[in-house]
Amino acid sequence: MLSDGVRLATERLILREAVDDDAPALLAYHLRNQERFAPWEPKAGTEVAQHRQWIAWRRKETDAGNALTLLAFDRAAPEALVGIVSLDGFTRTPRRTAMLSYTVDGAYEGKGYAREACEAMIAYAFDVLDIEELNATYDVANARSGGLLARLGFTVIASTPVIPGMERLMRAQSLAVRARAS
Amino acid sequence: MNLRLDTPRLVLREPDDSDAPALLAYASRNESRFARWEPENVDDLGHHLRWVRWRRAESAAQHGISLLALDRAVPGALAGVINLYGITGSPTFSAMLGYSLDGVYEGKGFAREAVGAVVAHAFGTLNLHRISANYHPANERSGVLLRGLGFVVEGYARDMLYLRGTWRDHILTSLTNPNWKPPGAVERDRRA
Repeated sequence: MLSDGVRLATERLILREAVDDDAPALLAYHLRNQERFAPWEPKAGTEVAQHRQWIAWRRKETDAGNALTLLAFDRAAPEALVGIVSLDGFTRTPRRTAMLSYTVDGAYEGKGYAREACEAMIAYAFDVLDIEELNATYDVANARSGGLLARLGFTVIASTPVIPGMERLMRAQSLAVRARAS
Repeated sequence: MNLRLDTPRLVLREPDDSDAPALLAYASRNESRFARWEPENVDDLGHHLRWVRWRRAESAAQHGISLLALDRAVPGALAGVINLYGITGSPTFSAMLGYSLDGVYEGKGFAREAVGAVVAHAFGTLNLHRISANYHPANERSGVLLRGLGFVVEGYARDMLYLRGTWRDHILTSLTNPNWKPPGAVERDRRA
Protein backbone atom coordinates (compact mmCIF):
# COMPACT_ATOMS: atom_id res chain seq x y z
CA MET A 1 0.00 0.00 0.00
CA LEU A 2 2.75 2.43 0.95
CA SER A 3 4.99 1.41 -1.86
CA ASP A 4 5.11 -0.58 -5.01
CA GLY A 5 8.81 -1.31 -5.25
CA VAL A 6 10.23 1.96 -3.94
CA ARG A 7 13.56 2.88 -5.55
CA LEU A 8 15.50 6.01 -4.61
CA ALA A 9 18.70 7.27 -6.19
CA THR A 10 21.26 9.56 -4.51
CA GLU A 11 24.64 10.77 -5.69
CA ARG A 12 26.45 7.60 -4.60
CA LEU A 13 23.67 5.16 -3.67
CA ILE A 14 20.69 3.24 -4.99
CA LEU A 15 18.08 2.48 -2.32
CA ARG A 16 15.55 -0.21 -3.09
CA GLU A 17 13.34 -2.77 -1.38
CA ALA A 18 14.84 -6.17 -0.69
CA VAL A 19 14.07 -9.15 -2.92
CA ASP A 20 14.56 -12.86 -2.16
CA ASP A 21 17.91 -12.93 -3.95
CA ASP A 22 19.32 -10.37 -1.50
CA ALA A 23 19.38 -12.95 1.33
CA PRO A 24 23.04 -14.03 0.85
CA ALA A 25 24.16 -10.37 0.71
CA LEU A 26 22.21 -9.62 3.89
CA LEU A 27 23.76 -12.58 5.68
CA ALA A 28 27.25 -11.47 4.61
CA TYR A 29 26.47 -7.88 5.69
CA HIS A 30 25.44 -9.01 9.19
CA LEU A 31 28.34 -11.45 9.55
CA ARG A 32 31.03 -8.91 8.61
CA ASN A 33 29.45 -6.29 10.89
CA GLN A 34 28.60 -8.67 13.75
CA GLU A 35 30.98 -7.10 16.27
CA ARG A 36 30.05 -3.55 15.33
CA PHE A 37 26.29 -4.18 15.55
CA ALA A 38 26.37 -6.39 18.67
CA PRO A 39 26.08 -3.60 21.27
CA TRP A 40 23.06 -1.98 19.57
CA GLU A 41 21.19 -4.48 17.45
CA PRO A 42 19.41 -7.76 18.16
CA LYS A 43 21.46 -10.70 16.94
CA ALA A 44 20.86 -11.38 13.24
CA GLY A 45 20.32 -14.85 11.81
CA THR A 46 23.33 -16.90 10.80
CA GLU A 47 21.57 -18.80 7.98
CA VAL A 48 20.59 -17.54 4.54
CA ALA A 49 17.08 -18.90 5.13
CA GLN A 50 16.63 -16.59 8.15
CA HIS A 51 17.44 -13.59 6.00
CA ARG A 52 15.03 -14.80 3.32
CA GLN A 53 12.40 -14.89 6.10
CA TRP A 54 13.39 -11.40 7.19
CA ILE A 55 12.95 -10.15 3.60
CA ALA A 56 9.49 -11.77 3.40
CA TRP A 57 8.55 -10.22 6.75
CA ARG A 58 9.67 -6.74 5.68
CA ARG A 59 7.76 -7.17 2.40
CA LYS A 60 4.62 -8.16 4.32
CA GLU A 61 4.98 -5.19 6.68
CA THR A 62 5.52 -2.86 3.72
CA ASP A 63 2.50 -4.22 1.84
CA ALA A 64 0.38 -3.79 5.00
CA GLY A 65 1.45 -0.15 5.21
CA ASN A 66 3.29 -0.72 8.50
CA ALA A 67 6.85 -0.20 7.32
CA LEU A 68 9.26 0.55 4.52
CA THR A 69 12.72 -1.03 4.47
CA LEU A 70 15.28 -0.07 1.84
CA LEU A 71 18.68 -1.58 1.12
CA ALA A 72 21.34 0.92 0.05
CA PHE A 73 23.78 -0.23 -2.64
CA ASP A 74 26.95 1.50 -3.82
CA ARG A 75 26.46 2.84 -7.35
CA ALA A 76 30.20 2.43 -7.92
CA ALA A 77 30.12 -1.23 -6.80
CA PRO A 78 26.52 -2.39 -7.36
CA GLU A 79 26.98 -5.67 -5.45
CA ALA A 80 28.08 -3.88 -2.28
CA LEU A 81 25.37 -3.58 0.36
CA VAL A 82 26.20 -0.29 2.09
CA GLY A 83 23.40 -0.08 4.62
CA ILE A 84 19.77 -0.61 5.59
CA VAL A 85 17.27 2.17 6.28
CA SER A 86 13.79 1.57 7.66
CA LEU A 87 10.63 3.41 8.52
CA ASP A 88 8.09 1.79 10.82
CA GLY A 89 5.90 2.54 13.84
CA PHE A 90 3.60 4.69 11.69
CA THR A 91 0.89 6.73 13.37
CA ARG A 92 -1.88 8.40 11.39
CA THR A 93 -3.81 10.31 14.04
CA PRO A 94 -3.57 12.93 15.35
CA ARG A 95 -0.42 13.36 13.23
CA ARG A 96 1.31 11.31 10.59
CA THR A 97 4.59 10.18 12.11
CA ALA A 98 7.07 7.31 11.74
CA MET A 99 10.22 5.89 13.29
CA LEU A 100 13.51 5.94 11.38
CA SER A 101 16.22 3.32 11.93
CA TYR A 102 19.41 2.46 10.07
CA THR A 103 22.64 0.49 9.98
CA VAL A 104 25.70 1.06 7.81
CA ASP A 105 28.52 -1.26 6.77
CA GLY A 106 31.85 -0.74 8.54
CA ALA A 107 33.68 -0.15 5.26
CA TYR A 108 31.35 2.77 4.48
CA GLU A 109 31.37 4.30 7.94
CA GLY A 110 32.52 7.89 8.43
CA LYS A 111 32.16 8.90 4.79
CA GLY A 112 28.67 10.35 4.78
CA TYR A 113 26.97 7.28 3.28
CA ALA A 114 24.61 6.74 6.22
CA ARG A 115 23.66 10.40 6.06
CA GLU A 116 23.08 10.20 2.31
CA ALA A 117 20.84 7.13 2.67
CA CYS A 118 18.90 8.59 5.61
CA GLU A 119 18.41 11.92 3.87
CA ALA A 120 16.89 10.15 0.87
CA MET A 121 14.57 8.17 3.13
CA ILE A 122 13.62 11.28 5.11
CA ALA A 123 12.82 13.21 1.93
CA TYR A 124 10.69 10.28 0.74
CA ALA A 125 8.89 10.12 4.10
CA PHE A 126 8.11 13.83 4.18
CA ASP A 127 7.40 14.44 0.50
CA VAL A 128 5.84 11.19 -0.72
CA LEU A 129 4.42 9.49 2.38
CA ASP A 130 3.28 12.84 3.78
CA ILE A 131 4.84 12.10 7.19
CA GLU A 132 4.82 15.19 9.41
CA GLU A 133 7.35 14.08 12.01
CA LEU A 134 10.02 11.42 12.26
CA ASN A 135 11.54 10.06 15.42
CA ALA A 136 14.47 7.80 16.13
CA THR A 137 16.05 6.22 19.16
CA TYR A 138 19.76 5.70 19.71
CA ASP A 139 22.20 4.51 22.31
CA VAL A 140 23.95 7.38 24.02
CA ALA A 141 27.16 5.31 23.88
CA ASN A 142 26.79 5.10 20.09
CA ALA A 143 28.26 8.54 19.42
CA ARG A 144 28.23 8.03 15.64
CA SER A 145 24.50 7.42 15.67
CA GLY A 146 23.84 10.46 17.86
CA GLY A 147 26.04 12.59 15.61
CA LEU A 148 24.26 11.35 12.49
CA LEU A 149 20.84 12.20 13.91
CA ALA A 150 22.05 15.67 14.92
CA ARG A 151 23.38 16.29 11.40
CA LEU A 152 20.06 15.07 10.00
CA GLY A 153 18.32 17.78 12.02
CA PHE A 154 16.95 15.60 14.83
CA THR A 155 16.59 17.01 18.35
CA VAL A 156 16.64 14.88 21.51
CA ILE A 157 13.32 15.13 23.38
CA ALA A 158 13.64 12.39 25.99
CA SER A 159 16.29 10.12 27.49
CA THR A 160 16.33 7.13 29.78
CA PRO A 161 16.76 8.17 33.40
CA VAL A 162 20.11 7.54 35.05
CA ILE A 163 19.48 5.22 37.97
CA PRO A 164 22.54 4.15 39.97
CA GLY A 165 22.88 0.39 40.01
CA MET A 166 20.68 -0.10 36.96
CA GLU A 167 23.38 0.33 34.34
CA ARG A 168 23.53 -3.41 33.72
CA LEU A 169 19.77 -3.65 33.27
CA MET A 170 19.26 -0.70 30.99
CA ARG A 171 21.42 0.98 28.37
CA ALA A 172 21.34 4.76 28.25
CA GLN A 173 19.22 5.67 25.24
CA SER A 174 17.65 8.80 23.81
CA LEU A 175 14.66 9.64 21.66
CA ALA A 176 15.12 12.30 18.98
CA VAL A 177 12.57 13.87 16.65
CA ARG A 178 12.59 15.91 13.48
CA ALA A 179 9.52 17.71 12.17
CA ARG A 180 8.91 18.31 8.48
CA ALA A 181 9.80 21.89 7.53
CA SER A 182 6.59 23.79 7.09
CA MET B 1 -8.84 13.18 22.76
CA ASN B 2 -6.38 11.96 25.37
CA LEU B 3 -8.08 10.12 28.18
CA ARG B 4 -7.17 11.19 31.71
CA LEU B 5 -8.54 9.70 34.92
CA ASP B 6 -7.94 11.12 38.37
CA THR B 7 -7.84 9.12 41.58
CA PRO B 8 -6.89 10.31 45.07
CA ARG B 9 -3.22 9.41 44.73
CA LEU B 10 -2.76 8.86 41.00
CA VAL B 11 -3.18 10.49 37.64
CA LEU B 12 -3.91 8.02 34.85
CA ARG B 13 -3.21 9.23 31.34
CA GLU B 14 -2.42 7.83 27.93
CA PRO B 15 1.27 7.52 27.03
CA ASP B 16 2.99 9.55 24.35
CA ASP B 17 6.35 9.12 22.62
CA SER B 18 8.29 10.97 25.28
CA ASP B 19 7.15 8.43 27.91
CA ALA B 20 9.16 5.66 26.22
CA PRO B 21 12.31 6.17 28.37
CA ALA B 22 10.23 6.02 31.58
CA LEU B 23 8.57 2.81 30.35
CA LEU B 24 11.94 1.24 29.59
CA ALA B 25 13.19 2.21 33.06
CA TYR B 26 9.99 0.80 34.62
CA ALA B 27 10.36 -2.53 32.82
CA SER B 28 14.06 -2.69 33.66
CA ARG B 29 13.80 -1.95 37.37
CA ASN B 30 10.94 -4.45 37.74
CA GLU B 31 12.45 -7.12 35.52
CA SER B 32 13.03 -9.64 38.34
CA ARG B 33 9.47 -9.14 39.63
CA PHE B 34 7.86 -9.32 36.18
CA ALA B 35 9.96 -12.29 35.06
CA ARG B 36 7.31 -14.84 36.07
CA TRP B 37 4.33 -13.08 34.49
CA GLU B 38 5.43 -10.77 31.72
CA PRO B 39 7.24 -11.13 28.40
CA GLU B 40 10.96 -10.56 28.59
CA ASN B 41 12.03 -6.95 28.83
CA VAL B 42 13.75 -5.69 25.71
CA ASP B 43 16.48 -3.24 26.62
CA ASP B 44 15.80 -1.10 23.56
CA LEU B 45 14.15 2.28 23.69
CA GLY B 46 12.76 1.76 20.20
CA HIS B 47 10.87 -1.32 21.41
CA HIS B 48 9.10 0.69 24.11
CA LEU B 49 8.47 3.56 21.69
CA ARG B 50 6.84 1.12 19.26
CA TRP B 51 4.67 -0.13 22.13
CA VAL B 52 3.52 3.43 22.88
CA ARG B 53 2.74 4.03 19.23
CA TRP B 54 0.86 0.72 18.91
CA ARG B 55 -1.24 1.57 21.98
CA ARG B 56 -1.98 5.05 20.67
CA ALA B 57 -3.08 3.58 17.34
CA GLU B 58 -5.32 1.10 19.19
CA SER B 59 -6.76 3.97 21.21
CA ALA B 60 -7.42 6.06 18.09
CA ALA B 61 -9.21 3.07 16.55
CA GLN B 62 -11.15 2.58 19.83
CA HIS B 63 -9.81 -0.97 20.07
CA GLY B 64 -7.92 -0.47 23.29
CA ILE B 65 -6.61 1.95 25.88
CA SER B 66 -3.39 2.03 27.84
CA LEU B 67 -2.97 4.31 30.80
CA LEU B 68 0.12 5.22 32.75
CA ALA B 69 -0.55 5.57 36.48
CA LEU B 70 1.56 8.45 37.77
CA ASP B 71 2.09 9.23 41.43
CA ARG B 72 0.67 12.68 42.24
CA ALA B 73 3.11 12.99 45.16
CA VAL B 74 6.24 12.29 43.09
CA PRO B 75 6.10 14.06 39.72
CA GLY B 76 7.17 11.76 36.92
CA ALA B 77 7.06 8.58 39.02
CA LEU B 78 5.49 5.78 37.00
CA ALA B 79 3.59 3.61 39.51
CA GLY B 80 1.90 1.25 37.06
CA VAL B 81 0.46 0.57 33.64
CA ILE B 82 -3.16 -0.43 33.01
CA ASN B 83 -4.30 -1.80 29.67
CA LEU B 84 -7.63 -2.58 28.05
CA TYR B 85 -7.30 -4.81 25.00
CA GLY B 86 -9.80 -5.90 22.40
CA ILE B 87 -12.58 -3.44 23.15
CA THR B 88 -15.54 -4.94 21.32
CA GLY B 89 -19.03 -3.61 20.77
CA SER B 90 -22.23 -5.54 20.05
CA PRO B 91 -22.98 -8.24 20.96
CA THR B 92 -20.35 -8.79 23.69
CA PHE B 93 -19.59 -5.18 24.77
CA SER B 94 -16.39 -6.44 26.32
CA ALA B 95 -12.68 -5.91 26.81
CA MET B 96 -9.68 -7.64 28.37
CA LEU B 97 -7.84 -6.06 31.27
CA GLY B 98 -4.11 -6.23 31.96
CA TYR B 99 -1.93 -4.37 34.44
CA SER B 100 1.44 -4.16 36.11
CA LEU B 101 2.65 -2.23 39.12
CA ASP B 102 6.03 -0.93 40.17
CA GLY B 103 7.55 -2.80 43.12
CA VAL B 104 7.78 0.35 45.24
CA TYR B 105 3.99 0.78 45.02
CA GLU B 106 3.07 -2.82 45.75
CA GLY B 107 0.89 -3.70 48.72
CA LYS B 108 -0.42 -0.17 49.33
CA GLY B 109 -3.65 -0.21 47.36
CA PHE B 110 -2.26 1.64 44.34
CA ALA B 111 -3.09 -1.17 41.91
CA ARG B 112 -6.62 -1.31 43.23
CA GLU B 113 -6.95 2.46 42.90
CA ALA B 114 -5.69 2.47 39.31
CA VAL B 115 -7.47 -0.66 38.08
CA GLY B 116 -10.65 0.41 39.86
CA ALA B 117 -10.64 3.74 38.01
CA VAL B 118 -10.15 2.00 34.67
CA VAL B 119 -12.95 -0.47 35.41
CA ALA B 120 -15.23 2.43 36.35
CA HIS B 121 -14.35 4.18 33.08
CA ALA B 122 -14.93 1.00 31.07
CA PHE B 123 -18.31 0.37 32.67
CA GLY B 124 -19.37 4.02 32.81
CA THR B 125 -18.14 6.06 29.86
CA LEU B 126 -17.46 3.12 27.54
CA ASN B 127 -20.59 1.26 28.70
CA LEU B 128 -18.89 -2.13 28.42
CA HIS B 129 -20.71 -5.10 29.89
CA ARG B 130 -17.87 -7.50 30.60
CA ILE B 131 -14.22 -7.14 31.50
CA SER B 132 -12.16 -10.27 31.57
CA ALA B 133 -8.80 -10.58 33.29
CA ASN B 134 -6.47 -13.56 33.51
CA TYR B 135 -3.69 -14.21 35.98
CA HIS B 136 -1.02 -16.78 36.65
CA PRO B 137 -2.09 -19.25 39.37
CA ALA B 138 1.01 -18.41 41.43
CA ASN B 139 0.41 -14.65 41.18
CA GLU B 140 -1.65 -14.46 44.33
CA ARG B 141 -1.40 -10.66 44.55
CA SER B 142 -3.09 -10.40 41.19
CA GLY B 143 -5.83 -12.81 42.31
CA VAL B 144 -6.43 -10.82 45.50
CA LEU B 145 -6.63 -7.59 43.51
CA LEU B 146 -9.18 -9.02 41.07
CA ARG B 147 -11.32 -10.64 43.79
CA GLY B 148 -11.27 -7.38 45.72
CA LEU B 149 -12.70 -5.59 42.69
CA GLY B 150 -15.44 -8.22 42.37
CA PHE B 151 -13.99 -10.31 39.54
CA VAL B 152 -15.28 -13.88 39.59
CA VAL B 153 -13.24 -16.93 38.58
CA GLU B 154 -14.69 -18.52 35.45
CA GLY B 155 -12.17 -21.13 34.56
CA TYR B 156 -8.67 -22.43 34.29
CA ALA B 157 -6.86 -22.24 30.98
CA ARG B 158 -3.97 -24.66 30.56
CA ASP B 159 -0.99 -23.53 28.48
CA MET B 160 -2.60 -20.20 27.69
CA LEU B 161 0.40 -17.89 27.25
CA TYR B 162 3.79 -18.60 25.73
CA LEU B 163 6.16 -16.47 27.78
CA ARG B 164 9.94 -16.70 27.95
CA GLY B 165 10.02 -20.05 26.25
CA THR B 166 7.35 -21.90 28.22
CA TRP B 167 3.57 -22.23 28.19
CA ARG B 168 1.84 -20.76 31.25
CA ASP B 169 -1.51 -21.68 32.74
CA HIS B 170 -3.89 -18.87 33.60
CA ILE B 171 -6.91 -18.45 35.82
CA LEU B 172 -9.75 -16.77 33.93
CA THR B 173 -11.88 -14.19 35.70
CA SER B 174 -14.41 -11.59 34.69
CA LEU B 175 -16.57 -8.81 36.01
CA THR B 176 -19.91 -7.81 34.53
CA ASN B 177 -21.51 -4.39 34.64
CA PRO B 178 -24.75 -4.27 36.66
CA ASN B 179 -25.49 -0.77 35.30
CA TRP B 180 -24.97 -1.59 31.64
CA LYS B 181 -27.38 0.19 29.33
CA PRO B 182 -28.53 -1.12 25.94
CA PRO B 183 -27.09 1.16 23.20
CA GLY B 184 -30.51 2.68 22.48
CA ALA B 185 -30.84 3.72 26.14
CA VAL B 186 -27.46 5.46 26.01
CA GLU B 187 -28.61 7.42 22.97
CA ARG B 188 -31.82 8.41 24.79
CA ASP B 189 -29.81 9.52 27.84
CA ARG B 190 -27.57 11.66 25.62
CA ARG B 191 -30.55 13.36 24.00
CA ALA B 192 -32.25 13.97 27.32
